[in-house]
Amino acid sequence: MMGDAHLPNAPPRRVLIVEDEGIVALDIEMNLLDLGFEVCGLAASGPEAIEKGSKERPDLVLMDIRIQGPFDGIQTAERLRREQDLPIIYLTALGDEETVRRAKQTEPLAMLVKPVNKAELRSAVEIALYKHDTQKRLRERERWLTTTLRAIADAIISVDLKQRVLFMNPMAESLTNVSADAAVGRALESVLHLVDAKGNPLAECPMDQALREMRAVRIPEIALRNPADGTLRPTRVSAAPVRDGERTLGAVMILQDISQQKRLRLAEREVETERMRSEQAEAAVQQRDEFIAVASHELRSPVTALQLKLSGIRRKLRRLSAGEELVSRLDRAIQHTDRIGQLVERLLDVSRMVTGSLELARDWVDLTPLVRDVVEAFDEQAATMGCVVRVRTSGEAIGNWDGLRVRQVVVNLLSNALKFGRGRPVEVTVESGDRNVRLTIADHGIGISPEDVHRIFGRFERAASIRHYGGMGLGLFIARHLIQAQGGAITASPTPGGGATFVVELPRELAGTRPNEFPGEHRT
Amino acid sequence: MTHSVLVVDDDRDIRESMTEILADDGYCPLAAADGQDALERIRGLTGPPCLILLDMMMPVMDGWQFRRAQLEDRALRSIPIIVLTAHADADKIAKEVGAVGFLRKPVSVDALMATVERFCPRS
Repeated sequence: MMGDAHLPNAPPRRVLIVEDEGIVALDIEMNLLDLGFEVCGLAASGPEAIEKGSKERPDLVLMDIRIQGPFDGIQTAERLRREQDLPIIYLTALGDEETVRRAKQTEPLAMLVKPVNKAELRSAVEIALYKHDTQKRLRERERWLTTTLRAIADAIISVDLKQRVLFMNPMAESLTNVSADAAVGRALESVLHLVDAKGNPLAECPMDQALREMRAVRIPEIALRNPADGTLRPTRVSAAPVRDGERTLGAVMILQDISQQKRLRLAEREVETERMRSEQAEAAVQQRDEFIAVASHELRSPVTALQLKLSGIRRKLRRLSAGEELVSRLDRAIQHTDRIGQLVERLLDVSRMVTGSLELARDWVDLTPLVRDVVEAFDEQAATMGCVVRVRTSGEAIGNWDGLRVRQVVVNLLSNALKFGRGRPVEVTVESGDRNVRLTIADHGIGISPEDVHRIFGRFERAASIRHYGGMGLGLFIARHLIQAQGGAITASPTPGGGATFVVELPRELAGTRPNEFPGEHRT
Repeated sequence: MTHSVLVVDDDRDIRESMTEILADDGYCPLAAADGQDALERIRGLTGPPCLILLDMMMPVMDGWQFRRAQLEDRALRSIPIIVLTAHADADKIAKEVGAVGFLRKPVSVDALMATVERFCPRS
């Protein structure tokens, strides 16, 4: 099966006849029709042939070399071939040696000597069509292959058996920094500088290995050295022999730049490490909180029992009229135990705050007597430290709060003021506004640096050195939580002239509390 | 009226410390580890105690359950209760179970003795 003309159902192949002798043209046409072809046109001159060629798009042109007009058959055929990619069969008269020589240079698919017989015409036309189709398919495939290779994101280099470059796609050009035109024909090693991942020379080039072992070779990581600056580019390489049946033609290598992938993997690993670190930190914080919860809970009962026991012993000693010295020593022991009890309560409070299980018992409370009461309780301690606590109030300061918790805040702030106040005066002010009540406690002690102002309200945070000032760093954390839980705010700022000032603002009541209860007989 | 006071608390150390103090002050203290234990203790007595100090959070039978059982028992109904609790809303809990008062944990000896004396005056 040569031409498609004989295939059933296929449309007949179309032929353009260029012949200025009418009789000859007609004879050829009759023969072609007989053979199952279609004659799509007859042309008598070069220009006419070109016009009909472009209009009819024939599958084949039968061209008389000697035709009328400005250019002869050979020139016309050359244009048809070049411009319209039409296959040509020449028709010549016998004995015109010079013309035949010229015609051959235009690569005709066949030459027929007039007069043409039917059998010759048939085989010439079919062979011509077959050859043309094959060439066309080959050209298309080559174009498709080249386009594909060019479009591939990996670098492709092929070499012959002597390792000379045959082909390089644009990716290979950019990877090697050598143009394909410059590379083709050169030794591969002068174009491609492969080293191992650390930059050391390779024992064997992957191409050599592929050719030696006659199989595809894959190297997950290798490096490409830039000869200009010696930098290494991580690359993944595979190489394979190119074979045609039993014959080896050369080898092909595919190179993939993996520097981006490596960077990504590195970044991913960093993110992962960071995530793990923060998870560990979170777990550590959670463990700490759990430990505090369990430890403070476990400590509470024995401490309470100890307090009760010591107090009981004191009662008994008094009743037995024991010596004053013994009672006073026991009093000190009770004070120490009370302090342990307070620390345990603090830790328990923190645990409750962290788990959100802290509960408030709200009632109508007057801050003014509450503050005076706390200050009085600190009288002895303040006197020991040589510190004067001045209280300024302006009448009632009533709000719907948990009195014990507000008291706890005042105690925390006042004990801080004394602790860090260097024995200088501490000013305590209670102001009463329409909706809010404000408590200010200002000392003139060591103060807080601006960068510590927010930090000090955190858990286990401290601004002063732990060596000079003890404590767990929980007082302000608890104070802030208790104030915020009651809808208020607590802030710290430097006292003009040195020291720290803490301001607590408490709303008299939370939105939703019935205002008609305010103030009145519910106060206790 | 007897001077027996029943301390109901699941913590042995606290129970022991409280009964010691009560004994020192001339009371006749009784102790129970939970509500069930307390009921059995009182029912075994010839006369009821003058006061029950009742912890609320306990295993087996908690303070609320004990209080219900106590109120259902004609013989025990009138024994006054003092609630022992660390809860912020101690007063509300006391009101809720119909106690005559509450002691906030950790309990101070002075508060304990003042309360006991109020309900069990010594002759």
